[in-house]
Formats: sequence, C-alpha cells, structure tokens
Amino acid sequence: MGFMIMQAGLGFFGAALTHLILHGFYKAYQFLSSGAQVERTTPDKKAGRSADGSAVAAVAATLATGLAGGAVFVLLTGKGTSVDSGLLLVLFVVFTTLHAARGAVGRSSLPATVRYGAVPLVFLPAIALYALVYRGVSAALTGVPVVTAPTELTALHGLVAVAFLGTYVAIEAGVHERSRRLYVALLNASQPSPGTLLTNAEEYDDGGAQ
Amino acid sequence: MSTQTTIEDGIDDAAATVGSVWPIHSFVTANPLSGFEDLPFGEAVTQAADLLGGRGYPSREAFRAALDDGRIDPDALESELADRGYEADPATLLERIDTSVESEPTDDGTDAERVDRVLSKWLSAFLDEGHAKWSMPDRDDGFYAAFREVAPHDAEVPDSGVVASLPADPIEAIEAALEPYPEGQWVPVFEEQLAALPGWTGLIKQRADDEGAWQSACPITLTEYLAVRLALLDGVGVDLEPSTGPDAPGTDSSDELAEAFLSAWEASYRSEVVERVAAESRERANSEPSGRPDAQLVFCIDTRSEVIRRHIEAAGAYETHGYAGFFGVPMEYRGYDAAAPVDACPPIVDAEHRISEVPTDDDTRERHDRWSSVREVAGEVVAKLKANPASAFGFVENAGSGYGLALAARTLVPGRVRDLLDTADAAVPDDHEFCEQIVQHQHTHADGLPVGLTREEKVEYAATAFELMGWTEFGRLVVFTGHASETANNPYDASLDCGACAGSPGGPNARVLATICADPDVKAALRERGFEIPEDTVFLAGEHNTTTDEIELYGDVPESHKADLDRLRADLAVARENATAERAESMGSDPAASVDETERRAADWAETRPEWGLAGNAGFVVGPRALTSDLDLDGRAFLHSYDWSTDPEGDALEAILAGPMVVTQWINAQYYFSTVDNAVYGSGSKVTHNPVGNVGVYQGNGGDLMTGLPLQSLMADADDPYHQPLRLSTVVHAPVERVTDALADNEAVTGLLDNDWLSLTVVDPTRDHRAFEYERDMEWQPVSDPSATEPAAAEPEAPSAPEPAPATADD
Repeated sequence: MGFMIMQAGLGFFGAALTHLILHGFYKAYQFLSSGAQVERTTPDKKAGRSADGSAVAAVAATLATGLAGGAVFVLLTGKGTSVDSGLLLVLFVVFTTLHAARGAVGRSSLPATVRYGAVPLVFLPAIALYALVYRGVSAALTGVPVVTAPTELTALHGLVAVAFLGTYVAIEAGVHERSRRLYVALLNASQPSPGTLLTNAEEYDDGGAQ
Repeated sequence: MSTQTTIEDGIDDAAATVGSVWPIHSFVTANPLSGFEDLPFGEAVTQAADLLGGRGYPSREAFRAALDDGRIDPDALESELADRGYEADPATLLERIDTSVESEPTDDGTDAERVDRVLSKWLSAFLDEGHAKWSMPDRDDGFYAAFREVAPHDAEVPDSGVVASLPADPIEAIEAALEPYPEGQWVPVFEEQLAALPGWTGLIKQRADDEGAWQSACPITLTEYLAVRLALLDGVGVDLEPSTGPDAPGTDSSDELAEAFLSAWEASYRSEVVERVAAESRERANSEPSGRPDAQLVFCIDTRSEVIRRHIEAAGAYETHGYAGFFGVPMEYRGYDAAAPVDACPPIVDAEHRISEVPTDDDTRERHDRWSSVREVAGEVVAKLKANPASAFGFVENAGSGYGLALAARTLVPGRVRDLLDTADAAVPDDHEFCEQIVQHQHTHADGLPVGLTREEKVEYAATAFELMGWTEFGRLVVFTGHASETANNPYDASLDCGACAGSPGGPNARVLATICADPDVKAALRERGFEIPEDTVFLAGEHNTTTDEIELYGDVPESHKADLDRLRADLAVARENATAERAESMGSDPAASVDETERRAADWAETRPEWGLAGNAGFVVGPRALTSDLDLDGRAFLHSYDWSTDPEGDALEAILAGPMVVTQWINAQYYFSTVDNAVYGSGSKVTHNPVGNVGVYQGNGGDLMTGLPLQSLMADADDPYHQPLRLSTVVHAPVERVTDALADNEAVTGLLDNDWLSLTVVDPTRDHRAFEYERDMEWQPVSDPSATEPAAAEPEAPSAPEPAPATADD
C-alpha cells in the first residue's frame, strides 16, 4: 500500500495499479497456502554461508546482475529513461536483483554455472514479465487523463533513496535486533483487534456442530 | 523454603490436570483428559467440564441419530437404562439429556481477558519454533526472565501490583500474588489458572516434559508461566478466589442418562464384532490351515490398514498381518536431508537407538544434492528478498505474475499440478534410492543414544515381531509396510501420519525391521529360536500412502523373486483401485474414478479432507487375521495379529495389552473428545485455522492454541458426525485365564479398564468360543449367547457352520 502511494506520488499511476494487481497475486497465494507453512525445525541457526574464494569476481558478477536487471527494466518499461523520479523505481529493481544475486553467488554448495547464472536466468524474464503486465495495464488506461507524469528529482527523492538504503544495511547487519523497545513496539503494532482473538475455546461457535 | 516447596508441589499437583499438547508438526493423538484417567470416566468428564467447560458425552441429537439409524440396539439400551433404574420410554429419557454446557462466566470478562491476550501474545513470541524472522529477545534466559525484560516496554502490561516490579525468582512472584489467599486454596487456584489457556499450557507442559532441542534453547516451565500469569492478574486486580467446586448434583441425572445411551451404543457395536469373531473362531477351529501364502504383508494396526488389507487379500494368495506401526523398533530417526532427528516410536516408549540414513551411492547422491541445494538456495534467496523492505517491493512486483499463475493452476487443475510436481520429483532421486540406514551397531552415541543395533537387539526385535504376531510360517516374500499420508497445505498432516510413530511416517521403521530380518546372522539366530524361516524367504519394506492407497515397495529382490515381486506389484495396484473406490464413496465422491480422486485430494490445496484418517475407530481386535478376514470392519477396527496357541506364557499378550492397546486407547479418546466437543477438545473448522510459530493453530486471529483434531476430520458436515464417538472396544482371542495373567501386573491398564476408559471382551477358544466381558477388579462376566435369546435376528452365518460342505468334498 505504502509502496503504491509512493509510486503514485512519483507520478507513475500505471505502475501503482500494476503493483496492486501483482501484490494481490502474491498475497493471495501466501494466505491460501498458509497451511503449508508448518515445519519441524531445530533451534540452531543454519550453517554459515561460505564465502566464495574469488571475492572480486563475485562482487563484479553481483553488480553486473543488478545493473542488468535495471537495464532490462528501463528498456522494457520505459521508466527511468530520462533523469526524473522514475529513476527511483529503477533503483528498487537494481536493488532487488542485486540482493538476490548476492544471496546466490556466495553459495559454494552450488556449481558455478548455477551460482552466477540462476539469478539472471530467473530475474531477467521475471522483469520482462513485469514489464508486459505494466504495458498491459498502461494500455488499458489509455484515455485516462494522467497515467504517467514523472516529476523532477528533488532532495526529497534523494532522502527516500537514502532511507531505504539505510534500512537495507541496518537489516542486513541486524542492528534493529538490539532494541527491545523496538521489538515490543513492533509486536504490539502487529497485534490484531482484541475482538478477533479467541482466548476461550468455549466461545468458538462452529455453527452448531454437535 | 517451605513456602517454596509448597508452591512447587502445588503446581506439580495442579499440572496433572493439564492435557499435553504436542507441537502440530508432531501431532500426537492423545487423550485430552489424560490427567483424569485415574478417575472413573463419568467423574473425569464432570471434573473436566467444570475446569475446561467441555462436554463429556455426545449430544442428544447424536444419540437420536444413532437410535434412528439402528446403531443403538433398543434391547441393549433398555438393559443399560434398567441397570441405572430408568424405566421410562427411551425417547422420553432422551429429552432429559441436557445439551447445553453449563459454562460459568469467568470472573469479569474484560480484565481476565486482557491478561489472556497479553499472555498469548508473549507465549506465541517465546514458543515460536523458527518461524519468526526476529525472535523474542533474551529467549535463552527462559520465559520468566525474558518476559521480565520486555514487560517495562509493553504498555499492555499493567504498571501496578506484582507485575510492576517482578522479583528475579518466579516463585517469589507467585508467593507475592498469592499472599491474600489461604494456602488451602493454592492448588485450586493453580488448576483454574492452568485451565484458562489450555492450549498454551498443554504445549508448555509437553515441551518441559519432553526436553527437546527447543526447550533446551529456550526453557519454559509451568511455574514460570504461572508466575507471569498470577503477576499479571494481580496487576489488573482480578480476584483469584477459585470457584466453589462442582455444581449442584442436579445435572447428574442428565450425565447418567448420557452414559447409559453411550454404553448401549458401544455395546451394540461391540456385540456385533464379538459375535462375528466368536463365530469365525468356532469355524476356524474345525478348518484346515491354508497353504503357504505367496507373500505376507505386515501393516500397522491403524484402522486404515483394515481396508487395504481386505482388498489385498482378495487380490491373490496373500496373508496380511497387523503389528504396531513402529515395528517394535524404538528409534530416533534422522533422514538424509532431515533438519532434525525425529522420535519414530509412540510417546509411551522412549527411543533407545539412533538410526541415521547415510548415502552409499555417490553418483546418485550428487544428483540428489545438486537439486536439493538449488531448491534450498532458491528458498533462502526468496526469504532474504522478502525479509528486507528495500527488496521486498521489487520482489513482489517481479514475482507477482508467477504467483498469479501458480494460484490459478493450483486452484483450477490441482491434479495436473501434482503430476507436474511428481515428474519434477522423479528427476530427483529419493533418499532411499541412494541411502542405507545405519542398522549395524557403531559403538558411538548420537544425542545420548547408541547408534545402530547390536546383534542381540536385532534378534530380539525380529523375534518379538514374529512372537507377537504368532508366526509359524513364512512366505516367499515378507513385506513390512509402514504408512504415511499425503496432503497439501494442511497444518494437520502429522495427525494423518502414523500414530504409533508419533506422527511420523512409518516407512523408515519398516526398512529397519526388513534390514534386520534380511541379516543372515539374525536369520540363523531366529531359526535357533524355532522360527523356521525358509531359505527362499525375502524380506522387503514398503510404505502405504493412506491418502491414495498406493503402496511403494522399497529396494530390490534377487532374480529368483522378480516374478513374485512383479505379481505382487500388479496385485497391489488392483487392491488400490478397490480400496480407493470404497474410501472415495465414504467421502462422498464417485467411486468410479477413485484413484484420480484420491490423488486430487492428496494434492489439492483447497481440500480440507484429504482422507478420513482414523475417524470411525471403535474397536481393537487382537487375534489371528483369519478371525476377521471375512468381515468388512468398515475401517473402524485396529487389528493386531496374535495367536494364543503360540504364546503359552502369555508374554506376547502382555506386551500387546500394555503397548498397542494403550496407544489405540489414546487415539480413540482423542477422536471421542474432539467429536463430542470440537471447540474445547478439538480445533474447529480448518477453513479458519491460522498456523502460528510452527507449533499450533489459532481459530481466527489469535488467542489460545486449539488442541485437538479439526472438524473436517470428524464430521461429514457441521451437523452430521462421521466419527461415532464411542470408547474403544477391545476384543482379544485367548483363554480368559491367560488374559487375566497378562493384566495382573499392569496397574495402568487395569486402572483404565476399571475406570471404564475402554472395554475388554475375551473370546475364549478353550471354552467353546464363548465371550467374556471384563467387569472390574479382574472379574469376568460371560456374555449371554445372543443366538439363544433372539433366534429371529438376521444371522445367516449361524447355520452355515461346518457341517455340509466338507462331507461331500471328500468323495
């Protein structure tokens, strides 16, 4: 929702609508498959990820993958072709691809072809598919007064980008986990309305069974 | 000091009333009222109703439906009612059964509810088993200490009373909160407070008792929980005064009537089974033993085995047997890919060995590893992307179309999706294709358990199996068949797996026993002990998929047995078709395309009833399969093979009554109580289940954990029960004296029998195959011969006894 508003704020109403649809698919799938979430686990953390020997090559490959993702996005959606607020959206795509590539490249358990090839192989077509949906939505919106109205870049845009970057780094480093206060505040913020909790099973009314 | 021990002992006493709740990934079908089993059934359900508010007997409507369908025999009902001094017409008496549950409103709702809310929030955070990205801080210090750290930041926690300044020691907190109350009230206070969120407290109890990995990483005890709870209650100013015991005795007649109806219902089911077993026993005594079977298949005693066994026997010269589904090997099992070892034996047994799966075929293993690490890394990358807000939005946009496609495919063509996944799965070799189990003794330990089995242990487990089942003859193929269910998107999938394996699949246990028996050393030792195992007997393992009735046979056989195995496979396919047809019909589907239908149910993410599980269970027959092989027991009976004539000392019988009978009683009690009160003892409708922290489900958004089986596993629809809530009727085929001896040393079992938690009937082959019912205190009551009192009843089998056929066949 917040992301959609941001997209609209940046002047990409078509992108906001596309997000609504795609996010809808994603959320629906998550809700409908919640029953499959239960698994048996052990408390110890997963084995540490072994870094690859050729660190430079890994970083280069990761960067290249991220930039390629951004390039495909720019090319196929037309967002970010000029220096305006669309660049911010490109930044998100670069970031996501970069993050994924970073996750895969460091895995020595995988053969090199998979490590370097899998993310581009999956992400570039996925971005293309996104572009297709985006074009479709934009086409469906022809006739609407404003579909795309990018704004000029301002300091505020820079601030948003920096904020996201900061959050990214903080979460990767696990800084947030140091604050109990933050934990409690977030946990409380995520609590549902008291009226929807069933603390006494007797009150569960299953429609007259037995 | 003394106060401390008083409090600790008081909590221990009170905790007995809490029924253990297992984490849902390892669901155990246990009696929710196990803490009351030392009381007579009637008293136990009354006390439990006072404490937990659950019904103890089926509803008036359930009894009426059973009467209308003829499932309650009017004569049996009349005699049960007369025994209790009721003379009136049953229909009139039925009206007097009270259907409402007298639930006393607990205090003034809002304050206590606020405490429940705060507690369920923190318990769900603390007890989370690896689901949360950011878990509760300080969990490794224990619940009380961790709560003490977060409480000051939580505005929901009141800032007055004991909770405002929690002492470091939980006992001191309890002492402070209990100060206004006399010591005599403490235990009732504990009981009442532990019963307030029975799902969570049951989970805590189980976790503390089990001392598993999560408990040692993040310890919690009922004492710590009570300390937090009492402190919070003190903080909001709730009066802890326990309510004044049971209600007026006025409601008792309603319960007494319900008990009469229930007993009559049980007696009606039981007499049918007993009569037929007795008749078969009579007939069998006069018949010649049949020839050597082509194959012998050993199944779990599970009621679901009964259906497939019947159809396998019909498909060829096969003999089937029932044995505990963990195949008598009390092991902790670690599969090749498993994140954690699992106890593959019933909770009444402690694991004594560690069996691990180790790769033996490197090429295949590499192929497997490549695929599984790709899948693993993909999963982790997705998790990583979703966990970071900077990449989550981009991920959702890029992956959204894929989710949309998957959404459509799984909803519209679930069967095709299963085929597709099967094909993908087939490309990846299964564990058992390249791994062997370490069965050989290793002289090492893993998690405190010896790895593998010594020669003596191996011989013992194999011999015990054949002794308990009373085997004297071995076919060319002997197959130990474990079982597992296949279900999609189902938090309750463990409840459909093997109850004897603590909610795990039984295949690994079957493999262990087959490996043991195939060991030439063990075979030699078995021959010494008098089991004549022919040279050409081959032992195999397999797994019965209870959802689709497919039986997968593991491993290979020597060239000489290829033809036998091929024929067995073909016959199993036929048996599968017939078994699924029977089961599809019971689920209201078309029996014609039953294999496809059951496969759809196994794969459909919208399916709330992949299979009926053990619903319907009501009986447990201990005796030779020949006694029941001609009967259609409708998937309602547990079957344990046993032959009294090969068990002169009664040791095998003793083991069966102490082990499998107790496990079946657990299962039966869980089904019973989940059916009679699905809200309190069950878990309500699956449609609104909400899994939490890998440990349980909520109904709706949160609150207490639901504890038992879901509605769809028990009821055809909301008003129409499928499972008939009856206490277990055990039927044993053996001389009465031997059963008495077998029971003599087992107080736990005689206690259950004396308290009417299950019934025991013996068909005595040495006394003209007459039936005797266990009364109490080791007394037996002969069952009146029904053919004498009501000759008009439909009993076609009675006259068709031995006489005519063999006489003519002779010449």
